[in-house]
Amino acid sequence: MKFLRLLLVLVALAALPPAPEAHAGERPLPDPVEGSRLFVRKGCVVCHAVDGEGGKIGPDLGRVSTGRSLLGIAAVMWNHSPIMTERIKEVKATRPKLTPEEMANLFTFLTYTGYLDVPGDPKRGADMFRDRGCARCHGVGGSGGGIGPSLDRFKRYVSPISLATAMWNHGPQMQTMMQQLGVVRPQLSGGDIADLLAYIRAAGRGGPEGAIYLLPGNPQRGAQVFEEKRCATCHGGRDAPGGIGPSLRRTREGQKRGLTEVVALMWNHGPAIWKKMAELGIPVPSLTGQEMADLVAHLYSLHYFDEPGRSDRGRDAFASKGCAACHGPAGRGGAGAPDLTKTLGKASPIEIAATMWNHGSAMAQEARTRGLPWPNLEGRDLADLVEFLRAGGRKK
Amino acid sequence: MRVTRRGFFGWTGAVAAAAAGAQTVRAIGDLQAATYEAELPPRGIEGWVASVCQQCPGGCGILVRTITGVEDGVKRAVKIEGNPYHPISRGSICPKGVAGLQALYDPDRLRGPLKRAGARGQGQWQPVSWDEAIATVVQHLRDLRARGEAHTLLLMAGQVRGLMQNLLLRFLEAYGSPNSLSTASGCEAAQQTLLLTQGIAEPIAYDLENSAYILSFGASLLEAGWSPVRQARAYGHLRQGTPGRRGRLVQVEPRLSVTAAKADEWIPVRPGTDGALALAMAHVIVSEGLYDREFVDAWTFGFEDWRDPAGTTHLGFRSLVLNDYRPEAVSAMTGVPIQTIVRVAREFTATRPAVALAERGAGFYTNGLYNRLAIHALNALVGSIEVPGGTVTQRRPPFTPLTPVTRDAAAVRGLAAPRIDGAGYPALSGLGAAKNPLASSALPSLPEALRTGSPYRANALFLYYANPAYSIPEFTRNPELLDAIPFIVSFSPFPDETSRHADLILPDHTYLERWQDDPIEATWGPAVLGLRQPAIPPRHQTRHTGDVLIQIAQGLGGTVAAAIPWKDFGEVLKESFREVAGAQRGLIMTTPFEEARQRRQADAGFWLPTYKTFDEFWNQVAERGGWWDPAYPFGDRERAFRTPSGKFEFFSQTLRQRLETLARRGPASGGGLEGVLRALDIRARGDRVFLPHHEAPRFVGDEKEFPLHLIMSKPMSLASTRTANHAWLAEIPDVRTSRPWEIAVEINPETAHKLGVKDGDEVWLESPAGRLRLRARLYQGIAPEVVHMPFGSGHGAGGRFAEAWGANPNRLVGGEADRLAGTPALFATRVRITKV
Repeated sequence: MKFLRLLLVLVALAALPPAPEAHAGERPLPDPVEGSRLFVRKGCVVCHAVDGEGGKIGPDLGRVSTGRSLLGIAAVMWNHSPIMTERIKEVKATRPKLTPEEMANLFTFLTYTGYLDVPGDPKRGADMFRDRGCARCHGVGGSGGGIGPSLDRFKRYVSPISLATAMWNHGPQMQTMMQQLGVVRPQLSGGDIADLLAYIRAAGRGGPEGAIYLLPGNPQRGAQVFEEKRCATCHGGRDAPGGIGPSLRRTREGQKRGLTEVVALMWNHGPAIWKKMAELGIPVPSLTGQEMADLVAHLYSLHYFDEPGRSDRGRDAFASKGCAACHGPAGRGGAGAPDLTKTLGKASPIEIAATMWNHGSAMAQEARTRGLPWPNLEGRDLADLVEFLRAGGRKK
Repeated sequence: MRVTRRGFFGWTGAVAAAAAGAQTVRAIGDLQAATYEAELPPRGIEGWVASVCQQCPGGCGILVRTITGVEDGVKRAVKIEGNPYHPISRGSICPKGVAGLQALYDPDRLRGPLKRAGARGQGQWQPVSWDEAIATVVQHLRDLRARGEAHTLLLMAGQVRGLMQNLLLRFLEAYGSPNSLSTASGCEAAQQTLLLTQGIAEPIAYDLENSAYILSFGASLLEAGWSPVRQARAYGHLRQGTPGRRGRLVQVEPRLSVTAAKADEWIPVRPGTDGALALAMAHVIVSEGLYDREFVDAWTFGFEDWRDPAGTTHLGFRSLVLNDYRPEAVSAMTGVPIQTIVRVAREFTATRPAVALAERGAGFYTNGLYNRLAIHALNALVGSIEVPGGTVTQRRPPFTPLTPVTRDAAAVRGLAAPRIDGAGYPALSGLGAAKNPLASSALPSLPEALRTGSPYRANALFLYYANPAYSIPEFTRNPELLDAIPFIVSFSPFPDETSRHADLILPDHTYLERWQDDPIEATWGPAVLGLRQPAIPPRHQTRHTGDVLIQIAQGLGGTVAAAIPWKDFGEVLKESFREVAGAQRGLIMTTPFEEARQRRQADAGFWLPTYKTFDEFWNQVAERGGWWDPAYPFGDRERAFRTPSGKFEFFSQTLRQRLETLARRGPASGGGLEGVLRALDIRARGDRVFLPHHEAPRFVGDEKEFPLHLIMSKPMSLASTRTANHAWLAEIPDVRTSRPWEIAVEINPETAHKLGVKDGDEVWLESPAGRLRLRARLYQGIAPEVVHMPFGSGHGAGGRFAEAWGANPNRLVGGEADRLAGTPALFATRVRITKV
């Protein structure tokens, strides 16, 4: 049965430590569904909403965590740990403890939320379909041109993946035809594609009833597609920049690069991409819908990985942020604080995130007792600190 | 003295009765105290079972608390609560739901199959084995088929949906009868409203939660509507669900009902004039240009005057309302001030999304369908169709249609016969068809068919959750009409008025003892599939009607057995849920938070399940109570409009086509369309026939002799005709009089004064059809020319409590019907009141 082959690994890769192969066999893959349940079970929902649903005491995590990396989310939780402890007391709740697995599921859930685009506006889509020249070639619901195929067949697809796949696969022919007809190639944003699909879904005619949903893309398979279709030739692999095209992993902190945005970028840069591929003798790859879904999931998940930190910066941060006051200059403990090179030196980022959260309350209490300010961290700082502790508290 | 749990409730009944001070009530209280003698459950292990209530059609999720005795190992149901995961009720429950235990432990329920021992209607029975009972049914049905009279088997069903409905209809088709009759007349009319305007043969539903303005014509939103808990929740959401917005509710009906009292505004209207009022509002909206031009221009047909291919110009809705429904004229007809008509019409267009509801109050007249069309036209004027906060159509669970039935010669012959009630457009032949050209079922025509034997004699009747001798006026007054049918089988778990006339009663389990799917209908947009599962094993020698039907089919053999090849109902159920599991959409019922996540995911086009195998799916469904699909395709015009024009039709081409076909082919063809209109008692002529318009309502009873109109309502506790035997519910004081165990007639004090009637006086309430002795209660909130009675009590059968209190207003209701719709006109009877 089809549903047996489901995979709950959507952004699974994203929550794994930097050396996933070392842990993949030991832990179940992070699961956004379980993450959403934990969000309720652990009481996060009492204070926080996700995209409007949930508590109003804390910020809406669907809005503030989108686009952040794993350590970026961990840093935000750390920074707000003291105030969260206070708020939790006010609502007479218990500060939840989280295992690394639970933390991975929660982070995966929050990250997955950003992957989902909001439905488009059919009225805007109708205007765009007419004004940007789509209607010159394509018909929807019996109106529009007949040069290209009718787009009614996309009526059943709720996700823009199928439309995006067709736009990619037929891109070169469309480009040729547009040039012949003198149609200016429209530049699209992610929202534009969602609007176009909303219009097609509202105005399309014919075909069987019922919406078709896709299983979310699998970033691991997407990484394979990225290699197999030779995208990596220009854009580089996950850890190595390509050099010819831009690196696809960089987005500004806090900026979302959702599914339709990735698709819009592929459309907008299509002619440049095809030209470069022709120069390099690489055939323009044809993608199936599932390959496109996986590829987009892969590209989306890239921002979740933190660039490796630097031990020297980590040492500076360890001192300047006040960590050294309790844990010693090399992080090896002292003044009643544990040796972090032992407890965290070999930990994965998600384990570090869980440890920081679980001990956050006690540390805040200790900091208050000692009159120390609570250190504010960025994701970048945490990556550096991780490297510093991995190096055994030594500057490499 | 030992006080037991049930004894305690009996005692509370007795105490309440004593406080009330009425002799009859005290007697009932004593009876109740003596009845519930079951002991407190012994020490045992607690359990909770998620299931679906069936005390009314609402489909609420319930959790049944059970205790399994450590010493005796017997599992007992001890409490019913709401299931927080079920999207219809979200953990809420109404009094009927709580009282479900009294259905399970009803001292008068039937404990096994029974064979009639005395004359019909005497209620004398002897037990019979299941094997013998089923063999008897098989023999009768086999004989009937052999005589070429398969079509004379009638199925009468009330609250049936999902797989049981499929199974019953499949049985009828394979057997060879077109006669599936429904007692759910409200659904029938709601379905025809959508058929004529949108081309969809499904009942209209409303997205109340997202509405900002509800203009309700007689809908029982806060009492016993179609799904009371969901409606009450939607009302709460309307008021407080959206920060910074307080939705508005305006209720139009002749009586200040609970809904009207909770509304922002109550507009009393003269009986039968709701449609005229809606059209006067349309006049204001059109004349002031307040309608949604974009929607009306793009997605409606017949708004402007139009010309057909032959060059004939036809009247459009705009001209109709501008010419015929000026507020001044309609105000005089309806009793609603001109200023109110104008103001509400403006409010309706200024507050979006707004929705107009056409339900029982507006629909129970002889012009009920036209009233509904007029009210639904308001939704089209503001574009509130298939949009959030507007009207919607119920989505169904993704069950794969069953393979087509193979019809043998007897089935082909039987299915070619016209329906006995003359309903059904495809079978436009025979006398009956002239009466009910739109209806899929038309029970008001059945009494005449039984009386005359025309178009043919009915030879067998199956009763499934239907009690016409209580709920259909003509059968209420003349239950002996049923005796024209020589073989009647009832599947009721409880004694009732109609089953008294049966030859065999093959009692079903109660809903707390059986497996069943429960897909909601006509309630909301999204597909919701609850799983009803046994809270405890069957207490008596009852049997699932699905299993019995399968056994009857197997006994008949041939194509009938082949059409129903399953081992038992459980097998059908699991197969169907297997399809849902594999449909790659929807989710197992869950928390609102997780549901919002899933909805967000579906909006983005993805589906991510919580299970890997069917067993996992099934276990989760059983634990949580069901499956549903929160995604609803708002704005899908193709699905919303399946009319000849592909648009909302103010001018119904479907109605025109059907009436003209009837004029050509039907028995009244001698008179052409004019003959058909006369047969249907439609007074309008020309294009107005096919447009929403005000048909002058007909009433039973001379206005001078019977000066008052009788209307009814269903109290929350008596929504179903089956709950009258639940003493807990009868204990609930009437919401207005605060008196339990009392059914009174409400009269305006002004009218009462003229008649010399005081509050609490005993009076005769009399119509041309019959009379009832009742206590009068004076109520300022009812129009002077109207009187009101609650419906649901006053049973002639059904158990010791059901038979001991109340009165059935159907005894007074005359034989009028909305002939176009084929539904009984329950509010079309005039009455008079005299002091006893």
